[in-house]
Amino acid sequence: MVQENIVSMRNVTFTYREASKPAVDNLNLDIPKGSWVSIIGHNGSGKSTITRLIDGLIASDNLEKSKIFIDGVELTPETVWDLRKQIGIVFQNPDNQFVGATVADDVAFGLENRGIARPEMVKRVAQALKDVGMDDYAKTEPSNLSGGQKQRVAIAGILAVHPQIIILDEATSMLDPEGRDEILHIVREMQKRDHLTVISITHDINAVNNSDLVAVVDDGKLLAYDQPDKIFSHTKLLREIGLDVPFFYQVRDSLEAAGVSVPSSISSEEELVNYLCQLNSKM
Amino acid sequence: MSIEFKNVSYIYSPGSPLEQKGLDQVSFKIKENSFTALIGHTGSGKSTLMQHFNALLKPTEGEITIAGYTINKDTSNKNLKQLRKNVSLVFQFPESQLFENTVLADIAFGPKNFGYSEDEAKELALKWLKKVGLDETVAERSPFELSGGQMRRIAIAGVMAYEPAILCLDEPAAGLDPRGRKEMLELFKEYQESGHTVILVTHNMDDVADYADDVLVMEGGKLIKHATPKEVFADASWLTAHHLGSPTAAKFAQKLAQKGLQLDDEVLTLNELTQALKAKMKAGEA
Amino acid sequence: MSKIIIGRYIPGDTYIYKMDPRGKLLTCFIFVFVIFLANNWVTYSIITLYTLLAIIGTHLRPKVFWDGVKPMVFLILFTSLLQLFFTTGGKVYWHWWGLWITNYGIRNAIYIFLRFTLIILISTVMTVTTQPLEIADGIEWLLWPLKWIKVPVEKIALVMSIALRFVPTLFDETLKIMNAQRARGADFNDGGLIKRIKAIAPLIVPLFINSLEVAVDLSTAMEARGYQGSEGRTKYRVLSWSRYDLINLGSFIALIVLLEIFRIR
Repeated sequence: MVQENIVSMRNVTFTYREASKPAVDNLNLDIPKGSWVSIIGHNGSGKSTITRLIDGLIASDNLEKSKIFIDGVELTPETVWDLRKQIGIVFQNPDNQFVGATVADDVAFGLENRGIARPEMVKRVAQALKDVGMDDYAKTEPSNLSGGQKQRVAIAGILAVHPQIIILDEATSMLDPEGRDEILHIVREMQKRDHLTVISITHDINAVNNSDLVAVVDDGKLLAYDQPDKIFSHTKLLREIGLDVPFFYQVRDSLEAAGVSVPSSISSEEELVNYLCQLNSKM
Repeated sequence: MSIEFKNVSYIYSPGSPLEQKGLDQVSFKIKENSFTALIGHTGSGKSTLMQHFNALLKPTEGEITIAGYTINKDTSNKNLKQLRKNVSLVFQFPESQLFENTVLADIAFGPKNFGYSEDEAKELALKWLKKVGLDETVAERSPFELSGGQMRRIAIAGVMAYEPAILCLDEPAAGLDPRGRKEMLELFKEYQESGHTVILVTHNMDDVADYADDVLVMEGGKLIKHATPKEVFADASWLTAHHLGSPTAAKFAQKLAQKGLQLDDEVLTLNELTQALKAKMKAGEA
Repeated sequence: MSKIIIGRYIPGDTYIYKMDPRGKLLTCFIFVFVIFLANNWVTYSIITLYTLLAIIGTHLRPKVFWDGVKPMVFLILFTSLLQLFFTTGGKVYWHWWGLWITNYGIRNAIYIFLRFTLIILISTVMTVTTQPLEIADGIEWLLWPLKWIKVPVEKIALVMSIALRFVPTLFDETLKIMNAQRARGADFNDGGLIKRIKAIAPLIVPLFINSLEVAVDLSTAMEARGYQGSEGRTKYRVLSWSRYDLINLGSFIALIVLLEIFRIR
């Protein structure tokens, strides 16, 4: 079966004004429909610029050479508003994306923009708030919410407009661990239920492990794009560009260095735990 | 310089409908030259506690002895300069406090306020600019042209430049990438080792395990535990009951234990885990 | 600690709280004209009684209303005294150079005093029982006729609601930056005027820059969420009249009728 790509980027280059080199440099990236793709890279590697390009919030340097397709349709000034309806973005700063004066108002914002009739709007707002577990807070003002709660409201605002793609643009980097886990859990559930495509931009390696695919970006270039275990076998490469590897890879490398050999075929935490236990019981 | 809290309570907006207890009968003593982690989840009173260290907040009840000052509800706002020079606070996302035209001038702002001459302040600023890992070439640039990570370093340099005896930081590495995070924490560790006291407010249990020698655990405005990292992380069920995590290495050891591989020592860091596993394997071979 | 109350709203749950903000705003607005119908002791008593009933209806402490009047006290007394000393006519009780105290003067002074005080009290009843957001909604509705002359009423309303939403955020940010600069040895309270103005820069510059950042982020987020201007937008928040507004309307009409009957023509 040929896998359908919901996002395709072809030779995309983008340079910020007054910058000496491009933030995104001749990028080619395909994102399969229904997948969870993590884009990782250190601060300033250009990964957030990719989000903005996909959503048409910024346009590539040369529209002739660079092409972006969303669900098969080319992103152009004419199609951008329609395509944007397919995409919801949760941004990094919980405060700076909260438009509404109350939780329910904020969830409704995207629906209002799309001219959805009020009775339908009321239904969808209530459902979306339930989905993210914020139904008790409908009338609460943002200043009385925690960062994690605000991000849940942002997700509700996206779910309410029924998009195909959710982009998490470092959406959990300003949250505490509990808030972060909640957000990832909710998005995971909703992805399964609504068959969404999730693009997660992050440098939190622990949030990457469950992805279908991982793209490593450095200096605006795509360094590697593969399944997580294949990506993380390049421990050295990741370290070089300032990223970490998941903990069990660290344990594996550290054991090797200490003279305890571990087969390189081991590619998950569970496997490593089992291997070590077996090794122990054999002795 | 040690820090001592005696039955400190703090109440927000007393007498108003929004009255709220921020701290509730908190008592502890932190030794000079320690690296203390202050943990507890959002809203547990960590920030409120931190703001008492340099009298930005003053206790509603109780007394604090710190850097030769005694602070209670009657302490006047005047003459706190020396205290604030000795006890410095770095708030979350400190890059939002930058305001000067040049990086160097911003770092020199604190030293100048605390009585250093223009030249001395410049010298200190330059020294700390380099210490936080930035290049001299940014010194005369506007801080607002730089990246978020660089701005963070400048803000932290601005607080360390007057070399406070006690440095207290609220999530200084939040939002930084793994390398940035590590560099930042190594800098604070080095600062402690050169004879200062460091207090780190954090959610990251790995940082607690890797760097701290003393831990304060807050919950609902109360201090619920004051012990070493080993003691705090020893009781997994206590941690779960209080919604606190364990260091990654400890979690890994737990998974091993569940499958029947019990390590001999409590492990908190990757290094300890490796050593314990190695010891286990070696013992098996022998 | 971002729990501040915006405006003067004090949470409560009486029938005045349940009235529609549009009705309350209109009542307040028309009250300013209606009060000129009062021109004798009887009518002033009626309108004072109306105001007192409204105050009692809020179930709030009298201090709340005194706080509303307090900032205006000098203006009210000054105006009343002008009336007292400069009104001529009627029986003269006292006279010195251009100053007079007459029975007309005394009466006018009391009327002016009441007129001012009652208007402030009625608006205080409105502001303490209506959330700022509701007031903004009410204002939007009242501004509706201006759409005929191409005033972008929806945009103004959206701006008002976003502004209200960011007041506590900015307040928090201000507090945080102030604390951060204090920790760096800044002093916001000491020294002469020049020194204080200079001390403000470390506070104002970051606040300004942060606000710009918020504005940029927010506009990006709004665009990403499909905001293309007010055309074709629907509204989630709607106001609806209820039986409590009949109390408002009924009592207000009764007030006007009584004033009409008992005033001197």
